[in-house]
This record gives sequence, C-alpha cells and structure tokens, in this order.
Amino acid sequence: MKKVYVLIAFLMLLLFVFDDLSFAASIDANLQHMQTARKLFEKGELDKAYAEYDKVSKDSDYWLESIEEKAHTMGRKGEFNQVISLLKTVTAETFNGVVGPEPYFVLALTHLKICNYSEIFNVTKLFKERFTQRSADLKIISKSDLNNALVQEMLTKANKNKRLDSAIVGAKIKQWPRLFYRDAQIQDLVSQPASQMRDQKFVKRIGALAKRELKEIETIVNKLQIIEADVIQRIYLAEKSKEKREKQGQFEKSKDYIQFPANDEVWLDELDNYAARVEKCPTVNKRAGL
Amino acid sequence: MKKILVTLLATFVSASSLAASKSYDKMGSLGGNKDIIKKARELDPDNKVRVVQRRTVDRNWRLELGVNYGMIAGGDSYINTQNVGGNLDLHINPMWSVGARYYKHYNEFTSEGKRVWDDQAARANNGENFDGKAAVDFPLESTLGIVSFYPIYGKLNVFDMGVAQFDLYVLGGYGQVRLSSGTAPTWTAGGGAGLWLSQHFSSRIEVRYQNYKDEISSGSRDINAVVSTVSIGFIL
Repeated sequence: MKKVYVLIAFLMLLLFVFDDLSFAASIDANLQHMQTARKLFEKGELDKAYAEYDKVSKDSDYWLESIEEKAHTMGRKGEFNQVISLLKTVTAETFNGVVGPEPYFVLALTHLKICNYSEIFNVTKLFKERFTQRSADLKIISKSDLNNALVQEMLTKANKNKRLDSAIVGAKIKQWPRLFYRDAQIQDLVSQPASQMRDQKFVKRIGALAKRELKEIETIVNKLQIIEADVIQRIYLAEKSKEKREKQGQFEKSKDYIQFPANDEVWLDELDNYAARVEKCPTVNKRAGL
Repeated sequence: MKKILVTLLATFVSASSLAASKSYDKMGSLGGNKDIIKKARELDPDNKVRVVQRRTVDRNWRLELGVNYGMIAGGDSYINTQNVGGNLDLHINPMWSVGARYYKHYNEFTSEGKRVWDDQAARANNGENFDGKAAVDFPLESTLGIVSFYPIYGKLNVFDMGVAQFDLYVLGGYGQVRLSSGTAPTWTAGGGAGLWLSQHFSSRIEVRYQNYKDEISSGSRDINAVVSTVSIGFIL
C-alpha cells in the first residue's frame, strides 16, 4: 500500500513539473514568434512578419502586443483599413489599462493619413478619458512609497506566489505600470525571499517604471497635439476641394461570415474580428485642357 | 553642502511632478476646439468599422440529427396531443437546409372531452338513443419533408460562460399523417430558432402551422393545428 502512495505522489510531482515546463515552453514559443516577426519587420518582409505575428496564441501575454505590431506592419504597407480594424481591438475598453498610449497615436495618425479628421478628435477624446486617471495613478506609484497600500498588496501577492503575472496581479493591473511584471528586475526581485531591502528595491524599480510610462504618455500627448494642429490646417484646405476619395477595404460577403455593428459594447468573441472600409484622402483629378 | 544637496533634490522632485502635471494640462487641451471638430464632422467620409467573423459552426453540407418533443394546439378540441420524434436536416449552406421530421403522437382526452365521452358512455349504458354523438379523430404518426431558410442570425451571451450563435428560420413542408381513421396528406409552414452550441451540438425551437383533413362520423374536417417542438441535435 505504501508503494502505491509513493507511486501516486511521484506521478503527481511529474504532472506538476510537466505543467510548469509546458507553461514555460508556450511562453518561449510565443516570444519566439514575436522576435522572429520583429526581425522580419526590420528586413522589410512585411507579409512574412504579419504571418509570424499571427502565430502568437490568444491566451498569451504577447497577443495584444502582436496585434499592435501587426497594425504597424499594415501601416507600413499602406493598408490603412487593416490598421484601423486591428487597433479597434487594441483600443477596446476590455484592454484599458493594459495597453500603452502609442496605439492611440498610431490610430490618430492613420486617420490623418486617410483624411478622416473627425475621427482623430474621437481618438484624442478617448485617449483623454483613459489616460487622465491612469496618469494620476502612475504619479502616485512613481513616488516609490513603500507604505502605499497598493504597493503592500502587490508585495503580499509576490511573496505568496514567488512570481507575478497578469492573473496574479488581477483587476488592479490598470493602476500599475504597463506589463511591469515582465520587467527582468521585477521578476528577479519577486523570486527573492522577502526582506526590507528587497521591498525597497522593488518599490524603487516600480517607481522608475511609472516615471518612464508618464514620460511616454507626455510624448504621445505632444504628438497628438501636432496631429491636431495639422488637422486644423488641412480642414481649411479640404473645405474648398470636392475631389473623389478612393475606397479601401471591403466586408466579407460570404455566407460563412456574419457581421455585427462595432459599437461601444464589446463582446469577447468579437476582439480581433473587426474589419474597416475606409475612404482615403481626396486625390486631384487631372483633366485634359487646352 | 547639505543645503545644496537638499535644494537640488527638491528641484529634481518638483521637476518630475511638474512634468507629470504638464502632461495633464496638455492632455486637457486635446480636442478642445469645438468649431474645428464641427468643421471636421462636415467633411466625414463614408468610413465603416464592423465586426466580421466567421460562423463558429460550419454548416456547409453537414447532416444534423435530432430528437424532439412537442405539443399540438388547435387540433381536435377534445384531444390533447404531445409528440416525440426525430429530425433530420441536411445543411446545404448556412442559409438553406432540407430535411425531414417524424413525430409519434400521444393523445389523451381534454377534461371537456373526457366529460363528453363519459356522458355518452353512461347514456349508452342506460340504453338511450340520441343524436349528435361526439366523435374524435386523432393523429398517431406524422412524417414530413421540410425545406428551411435561415435569413436572420444573431448571437447570445450564455450565462457569461460563452457566446452561442443562432439563426431564425422559416420552414415549409409536405407529408403524411396517420390518423386513427386512416392516412391523410398534410402540409406545414412555420418558423423556428436554431442555436448552434458547438461544432457538433445544436438546439432548436420550432412553431409551425399544420393542416390536414380528418374523418369522423359526420364527415371530414379541416384541422388547423399549431405544432410547437423543442429539439436537441447532433451535427455530423
């Protein structure tokens, strides 16, 4: 009977180890796809890069980043309708607090490139709504205060789990620097035994990450202001012109596809299933004349 | 020296705070010009963003087998009828299917029907001869060929556990009903909702009108029945 218990315990240990290994293996595979895709992007092999980004699994922490970078890829190709449909997922309310400020800038820039001026203001309005509170939260974190209740809560979770990921951080992820749990220094600190020195280093690093993100937000705000200034100039010119606009993109008409309105209500099955049909900037019609 | 260091530190801290608060001020100025926004809206192009997703359940040339349970309303007024049966549908594509329905009918008297029948039996036992005896004819089995058209689709949030797509459809069919008096041709038309739970499981609710002629002692009658069924299916 004792031998049976020993065998069961051994099998359970094997299962536990295998589960950890397979988790680590799946992270490595997704990271591999991201790195391969980035190298292909640098070489200018955009279609191959896009295909590589597509291989990142939906349950991976890298999935959202892969969609963001797919949007960059499509932007390089001039497929602005694809950029808009991809960034619709990235900027969905579901991912508020998890996504950085840059996709909003890319979205606004794409709308500028297709002369969709009113949508630029919708993007900046959305950006303001989402990042005003976030900036306030990050400002508190940037003060590196060990006595802060939020910091204490995170240290408790870190001590209990010996690691941090999005599931462990939980709903308060929006109040923390983006993807802070993937930072190499944070991962190293979290794996160390709890001590006053370790906690001080942790809160100092978190503060540094928060300051970095605040700087990033400020940079994006500046860029959005430049876009708005450009829009003001273009609007006055566009008022006078009545040229036609070239269409880009179309909706799948096959019976195997179904369509729903893309409004503020987000269904989880709809994420990464948006499509856009856009009209590009007006082009000048050249007419023959004497 | 200490004072210089403290002053420098204070300056650095306030500069960081100033940078953070600068971004708040700048953020507040974004989208602040209402007149420009109004002008921009007047130049709106015809851009659309929609959710476009593949149907979760492929219904191209797939066979669906199901079992059903239902009731008939509006048939013989002295009879309550329930059915148990089977469905067979060949999905040609997500918009069209052809199939068959089989129903085995289980009948019992309504309370009024029982009262009338018992009354007649009692009077017959007493040796009474009377006109206008009540008569019933009831269905025993039905078999129908069906064509269905699925023009409307949608999706349901199923208790926050998942999303299931469904189709609303109309159907029409023709077949035969075996009555206690004999067989009669029957036709049907109606509609339903098909819920596609997974690649292999489905659920349907159908409500349809069915017409046939039955035979009682006084002659034939036009029966206009409403048949409602629920079914669970397996998609091969």
